[in-house]
Amino acid sequence: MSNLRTGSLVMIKMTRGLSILPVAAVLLLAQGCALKPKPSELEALEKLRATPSGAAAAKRAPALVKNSDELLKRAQDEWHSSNLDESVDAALMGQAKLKHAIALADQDASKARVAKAEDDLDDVKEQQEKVKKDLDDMNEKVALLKKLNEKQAALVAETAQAEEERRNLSEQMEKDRKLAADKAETADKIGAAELALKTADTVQASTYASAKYGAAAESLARAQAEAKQEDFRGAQMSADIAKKTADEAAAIAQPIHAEKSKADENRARADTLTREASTIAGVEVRRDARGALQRIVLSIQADQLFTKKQTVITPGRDALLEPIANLMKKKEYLNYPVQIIGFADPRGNSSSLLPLTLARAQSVATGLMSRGVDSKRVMATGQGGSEPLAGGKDRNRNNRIEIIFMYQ
Amino acid sequence: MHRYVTCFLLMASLSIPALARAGEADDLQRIIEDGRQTANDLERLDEQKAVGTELTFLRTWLDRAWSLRSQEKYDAVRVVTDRCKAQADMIREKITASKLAAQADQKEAEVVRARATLERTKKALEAAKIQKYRLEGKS
Repeated sequence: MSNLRTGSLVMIKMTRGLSILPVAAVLLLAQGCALKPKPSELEALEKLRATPSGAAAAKRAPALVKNSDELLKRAQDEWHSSNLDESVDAALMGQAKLKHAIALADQDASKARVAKAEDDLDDVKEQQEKVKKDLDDMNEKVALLKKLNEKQAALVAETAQAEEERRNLSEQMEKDRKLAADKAETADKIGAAELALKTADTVQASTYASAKYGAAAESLARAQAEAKQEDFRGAQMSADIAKKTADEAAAIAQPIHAEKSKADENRARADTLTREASTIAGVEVRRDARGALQRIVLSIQADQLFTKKQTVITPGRDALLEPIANLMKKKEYLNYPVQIIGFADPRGNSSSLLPLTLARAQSVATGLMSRGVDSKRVMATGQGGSEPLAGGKDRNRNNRIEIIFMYQ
Repeated sequence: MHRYVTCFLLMASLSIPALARAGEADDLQRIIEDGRQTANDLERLDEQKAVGTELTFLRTWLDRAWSLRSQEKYDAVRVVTDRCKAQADMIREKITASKLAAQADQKEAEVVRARATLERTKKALEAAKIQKYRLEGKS
């Protein structure tokens, strides 16, 4: 380029004056003899023309490229002719034309890219729309399924909860039922223990089996306290113990009480009998005991029934037997065995006294039996002069008939 | 009379080229100024800054043309202004090409984004399908 510029200056100087003509002629000759360096503009044009862009431009704008090629040719010719300025001018113009054509080709390429991109975009958008629609459909299905699953889960949870509540309720009911049953059973057992204790009371176990009875009462009190605290198992155990202990106490007291009761009953009956017998005129009543055997003795003076040594009841005197027989026939006294014993004053022949007293006893027995007294109850014996009651002037009292009611 | 006519013709022949040169100078000045205005317009149009070098060349050549005009080298000016016109035409097309290239880049980027969106949507669809199958398995 500097060479070209130098060449141009020389040319200018050459045109300005002939004074430098010889020098210029020499330089021109020198330049003419040697090919000047190719202008860079020309090189650039040649390179540009050789690129694929140049080939593409030739297809897109053949007129422009043809024009450029002509300019290239001219630039080369001018360069070969050492007309560098003209070569540069032609090269620059050629570049402009070729670049113009390349720009047009680039435009087409870009338009093609745009078109392709738009087509692609349309395709992609179409696909996107379809996929989006599918996605929306799928999401809708998923949402529905989720909702369905949630409802199912909720239903399962509700069912489980209901089942849990039902189970809890059932358990509670069972608990309540068991509690009620325990309570009822406890009440029954406490009732049974109370009954046992009352039963024990009836046989006066507190007296006859005080230790057991006290233990039973204590256990019962404990059972009641435990029941109040709803400790039913403990209450039941305590109640069982109370009942068992009360039963044992009752069992211990029962025979004692029975015996005592019987004795009391017998005593009372004997008292009544004694009292009633005492109302009978001509009968002396006394009570005594022979070991465990209690006796109510109705003593009748022999002369109230018999005359002297007679063994047959004197007629008219047997009326005395009537109230005695009635007494013996009373149902409260039917169980009394009755012994009729004849006694005599021990003076005299004792061997004759026994038959006398026996005969007299039998006469009285017969008299009683003839008035309806059961013969099985009556036993007549003669004791002779034994068991005298008195001596001296009262010794006549020893002649007597004793009607003895016996009991345990 | 003949002498006057001759004189007139001589004077006319002398004055016509002068007048013609004055008209050509004005014409070239107008062309150069139009070229400068065109360069400015093209610079404004060059949003992608794709033709900075070419515009520099254009302005340099216009300056050169102005310089040659000042030297009354009108033929040389014509050569340069013709080149400037060709350069301006080329620049205009190149700006158009750069704009189209930018548009193509933009469209292609849009395609890339759309494809990415499509891929994401497809993946989402696949995920939704899997989720649906799982949910169906549950229900």
